Amino acid sequence: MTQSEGLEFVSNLFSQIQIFLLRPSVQIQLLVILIILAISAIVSRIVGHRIQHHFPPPDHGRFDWRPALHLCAFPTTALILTFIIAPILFSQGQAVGWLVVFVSILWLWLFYRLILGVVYVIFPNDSVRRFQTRFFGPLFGVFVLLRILGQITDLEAISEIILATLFESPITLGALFLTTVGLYFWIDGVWGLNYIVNHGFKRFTAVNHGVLEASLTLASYLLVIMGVVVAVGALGLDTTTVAAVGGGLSVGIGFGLREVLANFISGIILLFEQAIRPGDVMEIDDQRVIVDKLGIRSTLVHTQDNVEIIVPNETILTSAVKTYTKTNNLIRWLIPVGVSYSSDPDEIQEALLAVAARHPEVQTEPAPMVFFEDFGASSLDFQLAVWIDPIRVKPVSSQIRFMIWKEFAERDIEIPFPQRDLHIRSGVPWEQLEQSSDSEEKSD
Amino acid sequence: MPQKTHPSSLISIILLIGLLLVLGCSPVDTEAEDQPIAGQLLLWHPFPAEDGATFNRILDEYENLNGVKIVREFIPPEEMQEEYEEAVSLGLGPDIFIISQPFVGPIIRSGFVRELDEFDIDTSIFVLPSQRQIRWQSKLYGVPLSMITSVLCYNRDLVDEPPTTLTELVDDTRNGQRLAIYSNFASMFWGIALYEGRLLNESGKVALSEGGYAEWMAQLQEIRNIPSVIMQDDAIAVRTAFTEGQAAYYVCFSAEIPTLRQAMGADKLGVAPLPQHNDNAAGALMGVNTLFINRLSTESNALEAVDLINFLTNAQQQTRLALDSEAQIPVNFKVNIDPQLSPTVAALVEQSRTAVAFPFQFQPQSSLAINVHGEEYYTLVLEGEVTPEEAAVAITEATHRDLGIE
Repeated sequence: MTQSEGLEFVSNLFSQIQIFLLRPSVQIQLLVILIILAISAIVSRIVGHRIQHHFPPPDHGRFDWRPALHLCAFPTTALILTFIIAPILFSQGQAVGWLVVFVSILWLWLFYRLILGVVYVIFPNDSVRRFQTRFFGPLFGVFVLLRILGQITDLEAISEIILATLFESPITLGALFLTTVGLYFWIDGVWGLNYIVNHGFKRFTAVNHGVLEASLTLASYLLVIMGVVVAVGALGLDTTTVAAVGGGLSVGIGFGLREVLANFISGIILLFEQAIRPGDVMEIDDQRVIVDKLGIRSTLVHTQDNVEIIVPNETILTSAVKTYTKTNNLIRWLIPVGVSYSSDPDEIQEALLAVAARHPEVQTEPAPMVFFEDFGASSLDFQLAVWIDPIRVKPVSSQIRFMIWKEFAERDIEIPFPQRDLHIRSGVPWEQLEQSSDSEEKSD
Repeated sequence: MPQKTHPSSLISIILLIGLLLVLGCSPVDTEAEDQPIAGQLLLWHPFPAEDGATFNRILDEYENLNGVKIVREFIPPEEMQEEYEEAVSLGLGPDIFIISQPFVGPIIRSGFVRELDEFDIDTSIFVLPSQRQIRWQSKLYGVPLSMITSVLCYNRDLVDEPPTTLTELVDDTRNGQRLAIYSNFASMFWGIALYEGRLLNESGKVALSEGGYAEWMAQLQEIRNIPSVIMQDDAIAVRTAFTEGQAAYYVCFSAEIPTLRQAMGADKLGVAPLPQHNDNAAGALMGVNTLFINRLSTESNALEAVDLINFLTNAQQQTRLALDSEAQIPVNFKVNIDPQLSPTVAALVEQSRTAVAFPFQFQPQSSLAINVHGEEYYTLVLEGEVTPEEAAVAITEATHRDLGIE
């Protein structure tokens, strides 16, 4: 179908829709559908309200049927109303074909929301909501649109409308739909599947998380690339022309995307090498961070202040990165303590070890140690060495200091502070002091 | 828990749309009769692009004259009834559509088409055979647009003057001129009238056993044995034999003429009435392309559709349809085509005068029943397993049995 024929087809389609909408038989059906939807929305609202007030969340481990019930209230009500109203209209000689189509859509909608309700119980709400709004919702919307349009006109004919000519190849509406909408669903579906498989394997198997994520990420990218290739193929572009243009552009694209590619390759190496894993504690730009997610291009980390940082994978792979959790999840942390020269060093050692032993987050193996560090200017300097989780350094060291303070207080151990002796000379007049200071400045 | 929607907003939107729909659409019908005829019509037709060129030109002219947009959609004839009934169940479908046998009867009985008695349509202008196709239980439902029937097509390069009698045709074939026949009961029905046979008698019963059928089948057995006769039940193969010059004669349907003309060239194709025998004209089965109006169309669109129907069936447009297409047979008896102007159309008109139409009260049952039994015994007779006389009685009895006629 040429562009002008396509325009005529679309114009005719709008004319047909206008003709149909003016028919009382169509108006009655649409009005009935709208009323059914309105009533169903009210009923759904009431059901949701009742569930919230009368049914508390079930005990942990028991199936929570409330989301499914709430989600199914709308389509169920609409179905019941349609089953009541459609026969009445039919008995009066009215056309009810749109109500039949409506029922078929409602059944699918009910099934979809039932599944959704169950999924809400199994998976985290945010993830399900993401799939609902970005994948299943739009997919259902497209299905309904095509179902309705398919009743009015020939979808195959619409798909053959030529929109433009690119590289001497006609771009049809169907191909464009497949390339845009189809590709969107493919890509989102691939990542959704990635999430589900990842979540399922982690939850139900003891598979290595790093390998799992690396494999799934790679597989997802491969599937996405396949989808892009198929989608571009569906456009029916002349491959020779595309190859020629692509060849010319590839050099420029290569330069422009050099860093992206470097990050991409680094991401694959990091994922398979497992140099870092989600949950690892690292130090980047003098900040201690925790790894959240390893992406194919970048790694998402967050600081202890909960600031999220996106680190390009190339940075992690090509620079020296301090990690606290590569082989084990412990670091030795030193807490300096100064005591009075009048204290007994053995008692200090005993007191500090007693404090360390009492703290639940201090590891017993390797055992805490006390170092007599120095004879300081005003104190005997000790260090308490404890093995703790690197991510808990701040709170644990703070708690230990509290405990040391109390322990020393109980044992009457003095913690000195730097003392300064002031020697005050008396009998020198103020003017003389000023003169002496002036003469010092001049001589300078 | 699932994301919360705002039902109040949803309800407001739904009600607003509903209100707009009702307020926006309702007044059109009530004021329709006072408005001038202008608007949009949806028309379904069974004519493929090449065959429908003339019909489309007439529609274009109507659009220009009346300021009405006619949205046209081609639907293959065999799919028309099913597509229409499916669309009407939704409240959709065309405002006006064209359908022919054997679908006319079922469409009328379905109740999905509009009674036309209330409109200003002069049915007296239509030739008699076509008038049998438009009324049921004394009510007018359809309006004939054109007719189709069988004629004798011949190759002008191979034949100077077409035979006018069956004897001449048979002699020609015995002398080496090849005759192509799409061989089945319905296509070869035309010969029964040559031997004074009829489809139905005065009491509406099948009349094959009353004479004509057996004689014609006996004649066909003879024709079949002539070496230069191609008798096959493969329509495409038979037509191809003719268009490629392997056969001088071909018993063709008038609806095939545009295709034949395209395949072999307009200069080569000749069209003549089917041969007579003992002054009896051939009585080929006739189909009528009938116009119907959708029962669900708005009043204003129904009025527009009636106006279009009157335009399509007036003598001027009927003449144009016949002359331009040289395939559609006019239904308006006022149309008089001079053979000098178009020998093809003249031959078609002449053939249509003796064509046999099924009263649609009997459709689809009678046409189906008689076709099924007729086809079954047609083969048996040609293969010599049943005598023509036995076949005539068997078809009649079997058809009566199927229709519950005693």
